Amino acid sequence: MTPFRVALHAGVYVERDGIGGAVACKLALLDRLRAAGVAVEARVFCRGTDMPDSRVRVMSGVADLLLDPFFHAADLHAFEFGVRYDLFDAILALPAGAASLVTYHNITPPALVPPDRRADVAASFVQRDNLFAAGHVAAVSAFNRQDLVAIGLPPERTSVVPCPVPEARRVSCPDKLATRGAGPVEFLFVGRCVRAKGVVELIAAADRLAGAGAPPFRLTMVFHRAFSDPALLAEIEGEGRAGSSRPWLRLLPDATNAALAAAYAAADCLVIPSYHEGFCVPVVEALEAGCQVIAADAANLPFILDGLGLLVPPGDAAALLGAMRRIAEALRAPRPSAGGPLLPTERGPMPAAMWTRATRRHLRSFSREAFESGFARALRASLAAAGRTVPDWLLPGYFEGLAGIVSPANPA
Amino acid sequence: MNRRLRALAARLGRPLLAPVRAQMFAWIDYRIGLAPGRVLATHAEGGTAEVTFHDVVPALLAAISSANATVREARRREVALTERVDALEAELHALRVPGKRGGWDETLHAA
Repeated sequence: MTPFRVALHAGVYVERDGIGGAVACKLALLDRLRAAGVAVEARVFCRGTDMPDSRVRVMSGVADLLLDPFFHAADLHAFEFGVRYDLFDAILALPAGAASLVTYHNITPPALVPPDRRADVAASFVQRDNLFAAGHVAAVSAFNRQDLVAIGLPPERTSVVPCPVPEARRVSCPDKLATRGAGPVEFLFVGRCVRAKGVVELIAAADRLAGAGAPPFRLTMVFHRAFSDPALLAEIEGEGRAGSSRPWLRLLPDATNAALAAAYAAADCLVIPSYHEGFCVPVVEALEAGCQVIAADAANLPFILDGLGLLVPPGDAAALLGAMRRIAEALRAPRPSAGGPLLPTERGPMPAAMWTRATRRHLRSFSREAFESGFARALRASLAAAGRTVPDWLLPGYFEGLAGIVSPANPA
Repeated sequence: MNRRLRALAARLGRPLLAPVRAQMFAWIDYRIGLAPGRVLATHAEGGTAEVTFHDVVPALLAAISSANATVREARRREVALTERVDALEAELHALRVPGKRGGWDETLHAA
């Protein structure tokens, strides 16, 4: 029996990367389907990888990709797109009858990247029009889908399929705030150390919080050194050393998955004052870990937070200070009831126990099950757009059973 | 962009965009069953040019992608302009209709 062949395409396939994570969860699903007896085969085509996987093929360019026998035999091509990469142009030269699906991760606006990266961003906006060649485009967030519709993609050719948090980074301690002890309030930042992530305002707000007689706190910053602004990093690292004027600051560069998980487990509140996020995995990770969230009211952050934290205008250090103070005071205040501290949120003040229940409901949209059901719907739409028959294993209901998806409609 | 497309087309001995696209697909078909590293001589202005699959395909795909984006961007701008003009016309129409907020109300001014 000829297997159903899926070619997955990405610029790079690396661990601890949003696009790498999107490829990994698709591969994991296809592996599980194979284990369940489905004749399905996958290859990953990219320009670079750090993943030790025999199914990954590193191409030297788009011409090499077009010469690969698997490229010609594939029933479906699934591309990831968030920044320009030459392999994405292969969508314009797919073999006749092949189905195509793109997962859209959004492009950072040019004004928010350093001048030396603006040409890449401009090229990404040009290449974004390749999305029109796709049978279906799955946006990783509602905000990204708005972006697709705004450029003229028919809404019926788009859907929202959020990526789940990788298992290795998942920390589950949902009742943490309800049972919190009396230690200093732990704020956490996770992301690249660049101005567009609101790092300058975060440090300014924390400086003022420390000098304003607020409850004791600590700010832990987890970031990738390689993807950070060296000048900004040098400035912050100089101040972050022991004996500096910022004893409340702890820097965790290039943290391992275990160290990141420990940071989430110890944190009370994630602070993400970023000017632009197409999805923002740390918000989902933080909510899973039972952390309250302060985020900028920008791009996908209000969508992904869904009123369960506090929003501040991007670039507004005073508003960020106000939000951090509100969280610190709420967590240190005497407990009004058995429901834990009263947490300030955009939905209004919520007892921690109620907030935990609302968060659990919200996080169902970001589960592995939700992703796989959404991805299957997107695959069916792509096959239909190419005029192909949907294989039996991908039919609604049957697919969920094979993939081991448990839902209220499909109990185990 | 057009200059780049024309230059690529000239290397292949084809002057226009549509034949260039057809030529690209011909190249892709050509590599099936043949050695893709083979150098193909084509007639171009000023003599013969030698090109390979690896030379031509990435540049042509990028050129097609870029040309598509330019055309769509022009259409988007046209639609945005039309919408702005329509909105302006609706606003002007509202100003002329008696009794509309902010409009000329003849019943008030008749006396």
